[in-house]
Amino acid sequence: MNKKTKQNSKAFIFSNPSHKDMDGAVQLLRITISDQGTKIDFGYQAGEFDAGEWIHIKPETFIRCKEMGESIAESFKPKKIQTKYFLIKATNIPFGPAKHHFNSSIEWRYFSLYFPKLPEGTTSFDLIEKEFGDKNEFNFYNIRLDEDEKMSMIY
Amino acid sequence: MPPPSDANLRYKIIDECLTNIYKPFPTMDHLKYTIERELKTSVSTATIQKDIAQMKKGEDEGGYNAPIKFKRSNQGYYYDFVKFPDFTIQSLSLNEKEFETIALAASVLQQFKGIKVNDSYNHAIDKLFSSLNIKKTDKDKTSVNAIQPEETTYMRGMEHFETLVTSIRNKIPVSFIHYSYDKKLFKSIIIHPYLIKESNKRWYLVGYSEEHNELRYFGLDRIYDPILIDKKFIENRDEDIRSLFDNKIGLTNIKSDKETVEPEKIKLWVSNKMANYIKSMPLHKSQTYREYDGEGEIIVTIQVVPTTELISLIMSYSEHMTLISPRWLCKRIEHKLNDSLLKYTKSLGHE
Repeated sequence: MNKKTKQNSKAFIFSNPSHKDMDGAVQLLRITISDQGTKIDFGYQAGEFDAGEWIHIKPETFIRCKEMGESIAESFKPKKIQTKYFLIKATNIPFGPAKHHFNSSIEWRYFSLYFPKLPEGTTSFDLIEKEFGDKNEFNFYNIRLDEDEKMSMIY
Repeated sequence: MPPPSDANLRYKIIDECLTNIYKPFPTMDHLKYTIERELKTSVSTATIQKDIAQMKKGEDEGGYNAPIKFKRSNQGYYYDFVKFPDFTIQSLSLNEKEFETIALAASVLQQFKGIKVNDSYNHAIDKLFSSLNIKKTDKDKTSVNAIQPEETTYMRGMEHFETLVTSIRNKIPVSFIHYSYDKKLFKSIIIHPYLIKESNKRWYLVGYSEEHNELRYFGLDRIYDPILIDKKFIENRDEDIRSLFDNKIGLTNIKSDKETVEPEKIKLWVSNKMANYIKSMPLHKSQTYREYDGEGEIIVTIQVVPTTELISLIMSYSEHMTLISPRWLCKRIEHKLNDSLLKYTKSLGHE
C-alpha cells in the first residue's frame, strides 16, 4: 500500500444495502458514513417516455433510526422513540419545488443526499421523503447496515 | 551514439561536486568517493578521468563543452566560472537532434492535454513546451508544430483517472457506481482493478468485479464516485492482463459472456481501391492476405474474437470491404445494413 494512502477508520461504505422493496425507478446504491455525516447515493432511470417526467427531493426529507441502533422493520409504530435526521444537502437533484425534467427515456440521473451522521451501532434506518406518501415519493424502509457488508474507506 | 546511462549518472555527480560552493575544488579522491557512495559501486580513477575528458568534449562528440580545469594548488577540479559563470551541465540546452526528438515526443504528449489525466499533467506539458521554446529559435518552434496528432476530446470520467491509477499501482479495491447504457441500470460495484485500457478513444477500467464474479471492464464515462476501500485485494490470475486484448479489435464481445469466446478466422474481400491501405496498415497483427483476381483486389484473413468494434470497422469501409466468413457474422452485418437501408429509404421518402 502506498505510504500516502491511509485508512480512514471512521468512514465506512455499504455497497448495495438491502432494504424493503420499493416500486419505482429510483435505486438506492451505496451509503457512506463518516464523521462528516451520512451520504446516500441513488440512481434514477427515466421510464417509458412520458413528457413531463421529473424528479426532485423535498427539503423536509429525513432519515430515522431508533435509539441505540435497534431494528426498525416496523417503522410506523408511534410508541417507539425514533430520532430523525433531516436532509442537509443534495447533489445532482434539486430541492422541491424546483424540478429536474427528463427529455427522453434514455436519460438517467445519479444523485446523492447528505444527512447528519447516524449513531454508531445503527443497524437499520428508514429514509422518508413524505410520510405515508405514494409510490412516487422516495421512501425507503428498513435499509440494512449489516456489519458483514461494512467496508472501511481509504483516503 | 549517446553515452551509456551509467556514465550520464557519473557526469551528473561530477557536475554536482564541481558546483558545490561549500566544497570547492573537489579532488579525484573526493570525486571517486562521492560517485561510489551515490552509485553504490566501485569506480576507477581512470574511468573518472575519461568522464571528465568526455564532459569537456563538444556536443557533436556527445560531450557538454564543460570548462573543467585542474587547480594544482588545491589538487582539485573546478569549472572556469570566470569565462562561464553559473555553468552546469544540467542547465545546458539539448543538442539539435536531442531537441528535435524531445520536441516531437512533447507534441505527441500534448494530445492528452484535453483529457485531464491529473492536475499537474497540463502544467508539466506547458512547462516542457515553454522550456523548449525559450531555449530555441523560431525555426525550432516550427519543428514542434510540425506534427499534429489527432486531438482527444474530454470524456466524462477522466477526472477519475488519477484515483484509478493509484488504486491499480497500490492494489487497492475500489467501490464505484456504474451506469449501463445498454441495460439502463445502475449498480454499485466493488472492483479489484488491474488495468486502464484505451479502445477507440474511450478509456476502460479492467478488473475483477465482485458483483459479476469475473473479469470485467467498465467505461470511465459510466463510473461515478470511485472510493478506495480497505479490503483484501484479489490478484489477477492471468499472467499478463494486457494479452487478453491481443486477439481483439476493440473490447465488446458479440457473443454473450457465458459462451466460450475464442478467436475466429475472419475472411474479408477488399477492393483494389482500399487494398493498399489495408496492406500498409493491417486491421490486426494476425492479418494475412492473398491476391484475389490479379486486378488488385485482395482476400484478407484475421484471427480475432468477434466484437462490435469489428463490425463497425467492416461497415465503415462500406463498398470497399465485404465479410466472406463466418456466415453468422455476415448475417448480422446484412441485418444491420438492411436496417440502415430502411432508415435511409424512410428518411428520403422513398417508401
